[in-house]
Amino acid sequence: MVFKPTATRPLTATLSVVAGGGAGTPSVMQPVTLTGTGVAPIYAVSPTSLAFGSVQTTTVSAPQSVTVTNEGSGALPIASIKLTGKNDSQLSQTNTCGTSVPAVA
Amino acid sequence: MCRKRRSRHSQCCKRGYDVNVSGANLTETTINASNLGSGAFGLQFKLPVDEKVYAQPLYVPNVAIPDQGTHNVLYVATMNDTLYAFDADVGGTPIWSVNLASLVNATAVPWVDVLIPPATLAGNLGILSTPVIDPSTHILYVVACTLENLTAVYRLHAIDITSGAEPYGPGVPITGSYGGATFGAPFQTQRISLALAGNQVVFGFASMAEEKFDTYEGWVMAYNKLTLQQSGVFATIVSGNGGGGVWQAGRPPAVDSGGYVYVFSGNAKAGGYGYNGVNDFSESALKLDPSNGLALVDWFTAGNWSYFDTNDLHLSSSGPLLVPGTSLLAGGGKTGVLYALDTGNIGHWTANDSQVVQSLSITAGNEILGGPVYWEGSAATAGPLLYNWGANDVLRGYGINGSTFESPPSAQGTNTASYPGGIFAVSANGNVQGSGVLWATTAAIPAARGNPAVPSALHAFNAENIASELWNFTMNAVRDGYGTLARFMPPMIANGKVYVATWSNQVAVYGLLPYTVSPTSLAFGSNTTGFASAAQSVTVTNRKRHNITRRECHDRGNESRAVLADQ
Repeated sequence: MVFKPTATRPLTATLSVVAGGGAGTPSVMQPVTLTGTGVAPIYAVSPTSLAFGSVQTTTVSAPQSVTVTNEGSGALPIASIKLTGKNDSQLSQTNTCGTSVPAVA
Repeated sequence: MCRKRRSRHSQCCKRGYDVNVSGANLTETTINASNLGSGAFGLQFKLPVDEKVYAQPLYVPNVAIPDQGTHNVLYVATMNDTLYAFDADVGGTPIWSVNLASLVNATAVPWVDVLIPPATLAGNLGILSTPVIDPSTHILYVVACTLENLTAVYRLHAIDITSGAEPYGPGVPITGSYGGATFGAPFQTQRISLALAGNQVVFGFASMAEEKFDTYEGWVMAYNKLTLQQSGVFATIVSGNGGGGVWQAGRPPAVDSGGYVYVFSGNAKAGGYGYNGVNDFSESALKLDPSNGLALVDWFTAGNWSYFDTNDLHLSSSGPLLVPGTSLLAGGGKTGVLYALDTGNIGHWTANDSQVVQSLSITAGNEILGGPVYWEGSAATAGPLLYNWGANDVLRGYGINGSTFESPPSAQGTNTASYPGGIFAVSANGNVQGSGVLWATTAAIPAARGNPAVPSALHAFNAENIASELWNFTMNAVRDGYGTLARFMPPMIANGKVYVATWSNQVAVYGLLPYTVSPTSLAFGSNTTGFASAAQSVTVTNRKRHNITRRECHDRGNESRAVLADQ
C-alpha cells in the first residue's frame, strides 16, 4: 500500500478487509486505520543564474554547480533536471541529486 | 446440499441464565480465558433494530423455523415494542419480527406522554424488561407497554419463538388490586425481567417517576403461562400509593427449588410509611408463593428502612441471587451492603439486622447496581466466587467458605467504573480451569445519573484472577466500538458469541474472528503531494480452514492503493 496525496493536510482513510462467511459463520469486516499528511514541495535552487563568461569555441568551461535544497517536511521527489532554451545544445549537465532529496531532519 | 451447523450448546432463556440468577453460563466451550488475545476476538457483526434495546437478548439453539430450516436464534426486544428473531450465528436480516403494539392496533408509548418531570427520556417506552422463554413449549413471554386510547397499557404477550405468532391470543392487559391498592399502569414501569416459576410467569413493577411517591406502588404479578390469566398479585405497600418499587436494575426474581420467588423492594415515601410488618414492605427482600396467589411467605426488611426511604438508598437497585448449593439468598442495594439471608428464615425485621446470616459492605460504600454474579468454580479456579463492580468502585471478587462470604475480597481489579459500575455475566465450561471469563459492560466515559446516552465499554476478565483483564474494546476501538450503553444490561454469552444490547438501535455481536489483520493501523507520515510514498503492507492471516472470500478497500481521503494478497 502506498500513500500518494493530492491535498496538503492531514489525511485519513480506512482499509476495510471483509472476509469469512460460509455455512454458519459470519462475514467479518476488520478495518486498518491509515493516516498520512500531504505536504507541498518546498525547495530552493541556488544560484538562480550562472554566467560562464567568454569561452573559446571547441573548449569547455570550468564546471559550475546549482544546489537544490529541500525546505519542506516531506521527501522532495526530483521529477527531472534538464536543459531547455534557445541554445541548450551548447551546454551539458550532470544530475547528482538522484530521484529525490530527503527532508532535513 | 448445504447442511446447517447445529449447536450442542445450551440456551439462554432468561436474564441471569438460571433460576438462581447466578449470571453464569456454564456451558461455554468455545471462548475461554486463553483465546481472547492477539487480535483473535472482536466484533463480528451488528444487528440493526428499530429502537433502543433495554432488554437482554435471549438465545435458543436449533429452532425449527417454518419454511426456513433450523437456526440458532437470537431474540431481541426493543422499546418500539418490536420483537426480532435473528440467526444468532451469522446475523443478517431478521428471520421474523413482530410489532406487539400493532397486534393490538396501538403504538409504543412516547416517553413524553408518560414521564413525570424532572425525568427526561427520548424515544418510546415499549419493552423495558427482558422476556423469558419456556424451552419446553417454545413460548416467549414478554410485557409490552402500548398507547391505547391515549393512555399507557401493559400487556403480557405469549409468542411462538418459531414464527412470532401468538398462539394463546392477543396480549392480555395487566391489571390488579391488592389490599386496597389499585394498579395504575401510567404510573408504573415494568423494569424487572420476567421469570418462570412452575406454570406461572412472574414479574414486577416500579415507578414511572420515583419522586412521585403518591402515584405508584411496587407490584409483583403472576400469570398462568398456559391461560394468561392472572394467578397472583402482591403490592409491596398498600398505604397511599407509597412507593416500594420492584425494579432490581432489570434483574429477574430468583426462584428456589420449592418454587418460591424472591424480589427486592425499594424506597417508600419518607416519613415512616414504608414498613409495618403487615402490608407495607419497603427496603425488603420478599419471599412469595406463586402457587398460592403470590402469598407472602417470609420477608427481610433492612433495619434502617426509614433512613433508606428518606435518603434514596433503596434495596431494589439490584436483585436477589440464590447461591447454588447453599440455602443463602444474597443481594444488596444502594448502601453497598450485601445481605446474606437464610431462605428457610429470611429474618423479618430487627433494628440492627442482627438476624441475618451476614451483612457485608462489598463495594466500599458505593452502590450495588445490577450485581452480583456468581461462579461456582473449584478450588483450582479460586472458586467459588461472587463478583460485584459497584458504581465508582473497582471490580471485586469474594470467596465463600460454605456459609458466609469472606472479607476482604480475595481479588479485585484496578480500574474504577463510573455510574452504574460494571454489569456482569460469566462464561465458563462448568468449573474447568482456564475456562472462566467474567464479562462486563461499563460506561466508557463518566456517566451522569438520569438517562443520558453514553458510549459503552465491553470488558473481559479472567474469572480466576480478576486483576487480569483479557480483552476490552479499546484494544481495537475502530473495529470493536459498538454504541451507547444499555444501562444495567449485562452482555449475554452463548455458543461462542457475546451479544451486547445498546441504546444505539442495534445489538453488537462479538466472537473469535476467522482471520486476523496486522497491523491494525499504518502511518505514512508526511508525504509530498503528487508522489507516492514507500510501500507498506498489511497481512491477513486466515485462522480457519476456509478461503478468504473477498477484499475491499474503502478510501476516505488518501489516495491509497491496496497491495494485499489473499492468504
